[in-house]
Amino acid sequence: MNNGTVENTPTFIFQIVQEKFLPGETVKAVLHAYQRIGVETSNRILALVATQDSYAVFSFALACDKPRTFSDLVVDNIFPIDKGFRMESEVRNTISVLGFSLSSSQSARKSTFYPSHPDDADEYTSFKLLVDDIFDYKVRTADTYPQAIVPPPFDDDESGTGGGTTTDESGFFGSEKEFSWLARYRREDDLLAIDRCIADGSKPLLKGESKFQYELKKHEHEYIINKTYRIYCATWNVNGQQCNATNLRPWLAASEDPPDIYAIAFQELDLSPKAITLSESRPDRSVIHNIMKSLHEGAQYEELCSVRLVGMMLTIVVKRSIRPNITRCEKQSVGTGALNLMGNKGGVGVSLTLNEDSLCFVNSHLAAHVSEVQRRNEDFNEINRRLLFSTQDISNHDHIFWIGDLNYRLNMTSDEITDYRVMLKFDQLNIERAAHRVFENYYEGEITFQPTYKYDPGTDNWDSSEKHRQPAWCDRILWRGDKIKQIVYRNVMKIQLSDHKPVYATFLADIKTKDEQKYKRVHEKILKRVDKYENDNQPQITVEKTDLDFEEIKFNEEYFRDFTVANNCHLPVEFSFKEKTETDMRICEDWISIDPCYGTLITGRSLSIRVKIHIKSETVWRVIKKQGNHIGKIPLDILVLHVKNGRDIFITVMGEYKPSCFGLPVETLCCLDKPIVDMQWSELTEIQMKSTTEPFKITMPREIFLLIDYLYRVGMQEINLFQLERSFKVNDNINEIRDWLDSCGAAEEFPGTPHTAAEALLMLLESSGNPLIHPLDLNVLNPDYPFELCLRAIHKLSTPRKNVFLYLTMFLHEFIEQNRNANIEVIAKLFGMILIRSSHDIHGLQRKNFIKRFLSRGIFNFARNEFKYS
Amino acid sequence: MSSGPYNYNYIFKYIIIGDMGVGKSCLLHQFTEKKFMANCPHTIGVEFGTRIIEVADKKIKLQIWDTAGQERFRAVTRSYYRGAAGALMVYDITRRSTYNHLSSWLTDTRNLTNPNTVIFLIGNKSDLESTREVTYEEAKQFADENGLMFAEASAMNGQNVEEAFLETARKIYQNIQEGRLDLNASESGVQHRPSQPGRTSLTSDTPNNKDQCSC
Ligand SMILES: Nc1nc2c(ncn2[C@@H]2O[C@H](COP(=O)(O)OP(=O)(O)O)[C@@H](O)[C@H]2O)c(=O)[nH]1
Ligand SMILES: [Mg+2]
Repeated sequence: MNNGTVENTPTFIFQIVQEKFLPGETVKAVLHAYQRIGVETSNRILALVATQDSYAVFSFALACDKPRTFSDLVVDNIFPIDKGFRMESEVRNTISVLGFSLSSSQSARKSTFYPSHPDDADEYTSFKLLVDDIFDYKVRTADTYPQAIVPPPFDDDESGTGGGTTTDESGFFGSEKEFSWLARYRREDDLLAIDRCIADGSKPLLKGESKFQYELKKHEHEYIINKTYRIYCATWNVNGQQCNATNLRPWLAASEDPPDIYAIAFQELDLSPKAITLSESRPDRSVIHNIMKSLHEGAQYEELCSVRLVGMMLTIVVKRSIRPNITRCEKQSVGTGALNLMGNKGGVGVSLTLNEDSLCFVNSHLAAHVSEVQRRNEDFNEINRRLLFSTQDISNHDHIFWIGDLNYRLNMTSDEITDYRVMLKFDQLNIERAAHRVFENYYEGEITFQPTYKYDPGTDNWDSSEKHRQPAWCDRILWRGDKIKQIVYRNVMKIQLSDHKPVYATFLADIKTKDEQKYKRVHEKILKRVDKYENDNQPQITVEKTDLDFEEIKFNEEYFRDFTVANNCHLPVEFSFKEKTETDMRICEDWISIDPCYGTLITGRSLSIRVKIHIKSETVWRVIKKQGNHIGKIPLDILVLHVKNGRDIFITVMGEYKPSCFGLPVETLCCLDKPIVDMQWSELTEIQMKSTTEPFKITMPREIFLLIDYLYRVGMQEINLFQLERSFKVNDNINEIRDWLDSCGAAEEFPGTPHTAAEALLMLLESSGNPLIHPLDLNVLNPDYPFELCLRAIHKLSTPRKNVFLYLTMFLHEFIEQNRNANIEVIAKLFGMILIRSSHDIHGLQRKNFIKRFLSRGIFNFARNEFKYS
Repeated sequence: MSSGPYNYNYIFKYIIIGDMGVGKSCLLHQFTEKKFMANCPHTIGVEFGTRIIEVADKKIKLQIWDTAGQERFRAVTRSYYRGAAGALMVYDITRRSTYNHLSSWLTDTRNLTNPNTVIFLIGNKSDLESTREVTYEEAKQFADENGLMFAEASAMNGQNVEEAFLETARKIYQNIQEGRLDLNASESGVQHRPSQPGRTSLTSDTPNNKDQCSC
């Protein structure tokens, strides 16, 4: 009913979205968006829905491009607006389209969306504003929720032992009851929901494996828990000094509890021009050795990896017990020194996967000098842009720790060291971050320690050299990620080797972790469901009938039966008739044809299939063999109708082939004592068996005699009789002749013409399983073979065969003699092909010449003798 | 996390054979759906069902082909035997004729499958004790003589159904463990999938090993 324009209006969409919900659940706003799934995109409609005391954002998948009714919308995801809810704009260097992400306490992962109509900024902006307003309102009015929003709250439990403690799934603003209405939309068995796109074939059905992965991901929140890990970050610019003899314990073993992961960063390990020009990348083993000696003594550690670029080195050390939980680790480095190439400045990074989360550690040494703020910001961007891991850049990680000599100074003229808190106001990094020019979305803990630069080495005194460098907090530790909490952030005054003081910070990070037991449960559950899904999602085809009854079938007659196949299942169906065995590649007997023999049906469609039977001279003997001695209908063939990814249906072709002289050996024909129409196959097979031993009732088949006799009487002057081109093969008259012959043609007049009689004769001769001249001594085909011996070969044939051959050749000889149009070459060739058949490849010329030898000379005397002889 | 865990490590192909009406389809249905299908339509063709089971901590996907038992389809159904790792040969304990035909089913199975195909003989409808025509002992002896696994089962009440399918899988798995099955040969009826990516091994995510940690 609806025309396209109505369907597309925002109010129409609004209406059908509203129809998805119960009274009291009001759709407040709708946003058209899409998601990227691999290389594909998938359209979504987002809806902000309100009840009396709670809100949620629904994401609907669309069953078709332009939804027409509410049933075209399928709930894909729900984001309750609870305290863990976030709707964040994503601004990424790599993706120009403005995307945004949705997450909430209940959804295990963020989902990223892109507005479908980025030009229509209004739709997006008003949706986002409304959502933000509601969230803010909820935050303000929720007494259970702490004040600060970022970073989110943690259990303030620092005493938990290493290896991590578990934090609960965060609760809702109010009671869980508030969101109980959502349960109705989280249907468990949506697994089997009918998807219009799948039914019409425009979207493929997920197969077992991918369905399993999909379901596993979807149920992630049921088995993913947060586990807290202790992370220790440390940075020190050693100013080119050998630090392998320095006691690093005050710097690296300063935490109360043993950390799970250390990220230890050095700068200026080697200031030599050689190291710079060669981009030294071999980790300094002696330094690492010293590190390993200086770690917290409460646990066993091992080096996970180290990455070095000239003076910068980042070493990741992990507690031995958590090593198996790290399933991926990659390192990378980027030089931003001269020409953005040299490694005296830049960054090195390590990306790793711990349980189900990804972590990234970056150690960078940014441009020096008070005035180079801009350059430092650029270095930061450059590292972000170029430090790429195999599948992700820095920003894609769940947890990011950025440490190093960032080299930001103080914008102060006085070298008066006053209150640090005052000085921090002049800290360039703080200023740049506040202005959103660098380290966007990163956090830094409060600095409660004195500047880390610049000291006279070996002392705690400020730089007394000529340059009188302004003190600054060059050495910093920042992080990005909502599940990280900093515990301490300090410098280490005691270590005086360098003009920088080392800095360290410890963190608690919540890492998504599979709860193995819950996972096993969910896994089992999903396995069962996917089994069911696979069994229920087999494409099915309905066939009208599985028996095609052809009843009586006669030689050379065409029959057909039609039956419909229909697709009544919710999936598209591809069907085809299948080869029956690996050795027999035919889909049916040669005398059967199927049309169409394959096809595709979308849901609700049906199709008529026609099965035809036409038994011709070449195949009739096979049908006779199949019919055997069965009386009545038999399964003549079984067709295998195969449904792709589904079951096979057997279709039985039933019928009874009626006896006829066509296809029977001449011996059998010579033993008949009544018309074939009156005979059963059981009698015929019996006769056939006896025909080798018992005397023949007649000297040659009546049928052949009758045909030749007719031709002899009325066809001798007929032109174009016995042509190579068998233009009378398809002629209704042939079947009348068949019936006349089978009823012994006694009473009635011959129903045909010389031409159809000639064709019937040819068909009769060629339809028997074996050729007339059988068995055949191939020598006789040799043109030099004495004719006497050829006659001998004929003499050796069974009496009926010999008689037919002699009678036929005498007739043809006569015909050629009398008929001025007759061409001996053509006739010899034609009969050569019919009378001499063999599995051996016999040249047509040989066959023709053999027959010609008989046709060109009278064999009357021989024939008379032979007839007498028999 | 591009390569998640696979949902199974092996696929075993099974066939279910035996005379018409012995309960082949019901056994399959009972195994996959845990339900008895009283009015099961005749199988006119070949149907299949799947289920994932666990043997020795390995997930195995059974792909089960249920064939039509009518004599006239015999020639066609023979082409489905190939590549079966397990064959469930079913007779009906209340119909002696179905038992008498076992030797011909067995001949087909032996001729058309590989020597390691596990054959499990099921005497179905064990719930119909009162109309029993074939004793347990007799069938057991037949099974022993021919080296078949054997149980009486009921697709109706589920008795021994699970066991028959699982025992067959265990035996196939044992054959694999003992190296009797060539997993690369398609006739083995077994496909192997590498097990789920280990938590402990750091497989390189990129071919560029320079960027990889040496750990
Ligand atoms: N009492 C009883 N009846 C059964 C059992 N299994 C199958 N049947 C019945 O036997 C008939 C044939 O079952 P079906 O599975 O179609 O046999 P199939 O031809 O071998 O597939 C159906 O009517 C079933 O209800 C069983 O264990 N107990
Ligand atoms: Mg069945």
